[in-house]
Amino acid sequence: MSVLSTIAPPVAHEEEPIEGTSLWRDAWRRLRKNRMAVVSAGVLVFVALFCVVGPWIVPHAFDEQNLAYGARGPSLAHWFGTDLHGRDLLVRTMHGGRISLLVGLAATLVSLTIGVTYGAISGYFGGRVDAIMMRVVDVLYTLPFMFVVILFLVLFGRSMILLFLALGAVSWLTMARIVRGQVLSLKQSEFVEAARASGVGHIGIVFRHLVPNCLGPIIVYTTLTIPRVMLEEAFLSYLGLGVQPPMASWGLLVSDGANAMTLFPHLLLFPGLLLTVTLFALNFLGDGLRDALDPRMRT
Amino acid sequence: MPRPRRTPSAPLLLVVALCLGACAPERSTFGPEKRRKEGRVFYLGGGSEPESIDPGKSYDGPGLDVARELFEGLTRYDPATLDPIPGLAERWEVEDEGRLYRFHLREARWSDGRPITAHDFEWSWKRVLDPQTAAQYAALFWDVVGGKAYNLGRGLREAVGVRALDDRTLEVRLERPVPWFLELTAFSPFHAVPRHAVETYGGDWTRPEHIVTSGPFHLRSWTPNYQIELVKSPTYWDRDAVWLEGAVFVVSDDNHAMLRLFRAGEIDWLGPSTRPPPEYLAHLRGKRDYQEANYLGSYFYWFNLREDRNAGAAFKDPRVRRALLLATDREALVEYVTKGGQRPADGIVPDIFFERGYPRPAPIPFDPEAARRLLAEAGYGPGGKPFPPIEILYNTHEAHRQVAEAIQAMWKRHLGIDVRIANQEWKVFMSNRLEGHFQLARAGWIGDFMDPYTFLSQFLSESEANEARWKNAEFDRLVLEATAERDPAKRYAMYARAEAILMEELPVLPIYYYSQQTLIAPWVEGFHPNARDIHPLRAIRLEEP
Amino acid sequence: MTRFLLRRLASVVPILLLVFTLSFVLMRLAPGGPFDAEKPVPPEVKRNLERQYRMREPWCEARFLPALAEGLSPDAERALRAERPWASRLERICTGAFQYAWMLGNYARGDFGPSYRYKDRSVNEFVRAGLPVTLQLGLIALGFALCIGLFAGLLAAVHHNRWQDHAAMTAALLGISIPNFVLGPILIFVFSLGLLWFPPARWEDWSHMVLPGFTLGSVYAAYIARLTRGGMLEVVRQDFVRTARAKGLPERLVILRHAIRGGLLPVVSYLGPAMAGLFTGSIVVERIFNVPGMGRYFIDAAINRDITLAMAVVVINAVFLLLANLLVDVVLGLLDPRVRYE
Repeated sequence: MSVLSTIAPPVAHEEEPIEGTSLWRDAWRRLRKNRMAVVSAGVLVFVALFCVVGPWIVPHAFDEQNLAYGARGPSLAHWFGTDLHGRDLLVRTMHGGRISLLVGLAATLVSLTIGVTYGAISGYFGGRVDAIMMRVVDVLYTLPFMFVVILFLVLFGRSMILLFLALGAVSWLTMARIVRGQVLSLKQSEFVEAARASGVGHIGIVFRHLVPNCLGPIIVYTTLTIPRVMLEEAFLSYLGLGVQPPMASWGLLVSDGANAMTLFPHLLLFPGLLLTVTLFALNFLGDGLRDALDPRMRT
Repeated sequence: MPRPRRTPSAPLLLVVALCLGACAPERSTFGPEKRRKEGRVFYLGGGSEPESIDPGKSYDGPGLDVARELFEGLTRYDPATLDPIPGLAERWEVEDEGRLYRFHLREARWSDGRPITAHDFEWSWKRVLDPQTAAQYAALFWDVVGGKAYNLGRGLREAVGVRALDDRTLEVRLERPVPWFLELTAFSPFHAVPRHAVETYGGDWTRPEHIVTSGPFHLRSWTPNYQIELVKSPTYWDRDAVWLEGAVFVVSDDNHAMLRLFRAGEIDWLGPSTRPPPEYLAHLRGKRDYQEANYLGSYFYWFNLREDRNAGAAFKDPRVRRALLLATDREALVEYVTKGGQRPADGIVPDIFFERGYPRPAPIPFDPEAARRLLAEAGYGPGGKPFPPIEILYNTHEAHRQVAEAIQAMWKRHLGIDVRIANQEWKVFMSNRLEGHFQLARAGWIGDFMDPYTFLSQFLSESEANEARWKNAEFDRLVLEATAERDPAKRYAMYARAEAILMEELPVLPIYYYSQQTLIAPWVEGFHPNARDIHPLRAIRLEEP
Repeated sequence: MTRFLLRRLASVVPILLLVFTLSFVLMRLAPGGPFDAEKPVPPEVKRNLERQYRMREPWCEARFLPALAEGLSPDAERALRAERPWASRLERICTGAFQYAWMLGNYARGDFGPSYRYKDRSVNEFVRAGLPVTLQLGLIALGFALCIGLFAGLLAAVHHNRWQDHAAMTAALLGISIPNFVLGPILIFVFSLGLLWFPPARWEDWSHMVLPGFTLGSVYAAYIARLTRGGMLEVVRQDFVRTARAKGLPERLVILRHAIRGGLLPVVSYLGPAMAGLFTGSIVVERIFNVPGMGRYFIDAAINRDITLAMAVVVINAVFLLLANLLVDVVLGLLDPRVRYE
């Protein structure tokens, strides 16, 4: 991507909208031509609407139990059937989707914030700072991070905030490396020199000039991080460390469903399908974005 | 570069997979109808990895279940009734109004051929009491003369009232009559351990290569967190009565995995420590291999009455506690929430004792009207003080949460009280309970022997288990006097009077009496449902194929 | 090369110390002790247990809370601690320091210490019994992953943009999208309970290893397939491959003889992180299939506050991660002339 600085005019002023550059228009055009990615984006919008708006439409509450009416298959009153405690599975799936998407987004945001800041600083200052910071990343790569996260959640109880932070903390390392590489190759460009000459400080250069020019890879990697984080949340839910009942996440619903599969297949089927479809869509979209934003990969 | 364009047909695979099982024809059993394994080896679920199978140190269910097969006490359990019957002692005398027991041992041998002597018992009992052993069941020996003092580091080993008169006679002196003492001698901590092996190998003596046993089975192999393999002991005194050639405890604490193993015919019995997952109960009921029985345990909530905690809490007023109890529809709770055959509790002593002549406690009705009146009397409700919010603490588990949620809803609906429910991980929860950091806390008490004392003793003023720190001198007196009474009917009557006091003052909120559910293959014979879910393997037979 | 290896091996020690310390501090800070139980143990017995397991240090008690030495009842001890919070805190820190030194000393001798829950067992026994099984499971899973992943990836690359490509990549995405705790029960359901091909759980002969190995390996197979395809397509565009093709070699030979070496680099560098995932995944798979490995101890040990066992799992996991990463770097160096050992 070192060609970027020559193709694209540097994003030097805030008022200049990013979308206006030819690179972005180019990418947008390529993305639109990728049918799979477009369909995926549509699916994602639909799933998000389904989960966010759905609970207001369905006439059941996600924690409303009807113990005498446990684990029935789909019916007119309950389209997805009911779960083991007689709660409407449709609304629980929607609710679970909210939580799963929220965890995916929030944890990714955490990893994005840490990773971009860390990588950009490391790449920008270079030299000894860079060497030390990247050594730290190398070391962290070799830590059994997931184990520490599990330990943390087991020992100190489960809260959503802790979950976001823990999952975000696990996944920022790659982001840091990517951003560092980008910044390293961009910082010698003319537009950085120009900014420096006009008296912009280090922080300004890093966050106003360098980071916006790395957006392509950042977006791609972010899109691919979300499904990973959602799966990690599911894994923690299976271990009983995710969200706590009566709350639900797709991970929790799916792990409950997998256990009760023999008798009540619908408990696995519906949340499982939604989870799979969403993960598929995110991955396809991520791949599409990579193809669109990474000129090298053009065939 | 374009990406795959095909819409994924893969979820279809899932649907097909799920239908494969869901559309299978109904069977009369959950597992296979005919045994798939051959031979006289019994496969059963062992629950989680035993903490220890050393009978003196074992404290957890899975460990005790294995230890019970490897060692035998002076007495042993009757497989059907669990009444104590002669074990390594062929007979005994009881003298001094139940304060002196003289056991006469039969001729029996350790698995290495050495004779089992009364000296082994004397040494083993003192080992459990030795403060350095730190045996968790040591308190059961406190009724032996000098036992408590020695265990607490204040008395001498020599002063403990257990003595081998000769190789085959053991004399035990008790501080007070203990009517259930013969039952205790069937319990693992009272079993003899092979002194020579323990002294040679230290903590490693329970390994298959070192262990020396006295019971109907011997340890062949022990793979941690996988399986414990027993084989019939060739040296056991009653070996002719043992039908099985061996038994395998399949160790796993994942009850879904165990359920799958049972379904595939890989295990013959789910085992005493594994319960079928609750969501399967409705489906399992009516299958030939499903069994449900009453269990020696009570489920209740503690009210924290400690003086140094929860100042000003409404439930420190006994009228409020009664009101809360009256507003709890325990009948509905067992029918719609727990659904596993539990019975609503009117006390703490489980209903299993009723059929043995224990007087039924007065039924506690579900009466929201009376509850509201009581609450008004205590000054709460419309026109009175606002009811301060209370919190129910339970350990993280789906079943406990459902009970807590149901009770929360009942109190809200009938009394207008706001209840917070909070869950904690087991160790955190236990630590908070022991430290007294709670208002109401869930508790389940499982009996160690067939006497109501095992349930009532936790409420004695001095008891460390009395988490409410409730004190009642009359209650203490009745319970302690009852233990001196050897006629069960009279003893039960005194216990019942004590329990009536307990139910008057309500340091606890009784909820239900436990039940046990299990899956056992139809070809297993000699398995008798009983109050403590103890099933000696020496009685088990498998129908010959 | 030797210097590189030595340097890397030397850097392992401080990292392990970091892991050790971090997990120790976490375990100690957690509320609840290993010996808290519903049926309370006599206070003297509990005190003895805690002394034996270094949860109580007489020297620290005498130094900071001398009143404790008199055999107080638990209630009295609680009251005393509440009354003198700072002294109590110092005593705890002091005890923790002793315990830390004790455990570190044990580790230095290659001893993971006694288990806090399994009373007369040492953690070494669990490691000896469980680690080979976990490794075996991991290797089988890795084998599955490599076989399936490489095959699918090469297939997709060779038939770029044809139906084989799409099918392989869809299957790969599916592999990534189905969590192993769902895949496991489904496989058991279909192949054990339905078709009776494989046993539903346990660990005896090869037939017991197929389902858990596949369950654990599927995700990595999927990633490997994607990486192989990507790597191959990248290499195929490079000059030396074009040259080979221009010489008139059949496409299949071009791919297999010339492109594969460079195309597999991303796969090799992925194997390091994959090892980490295999360990984490074994927590689930070992439980579902009743495999007597080490992974399943981890959560239970942490929940039971079995400090030594939980820490042993973390530390051993870290050792393997470090070694795996080192190995990957070495192999990368051998495969790729551009990589130099720094």
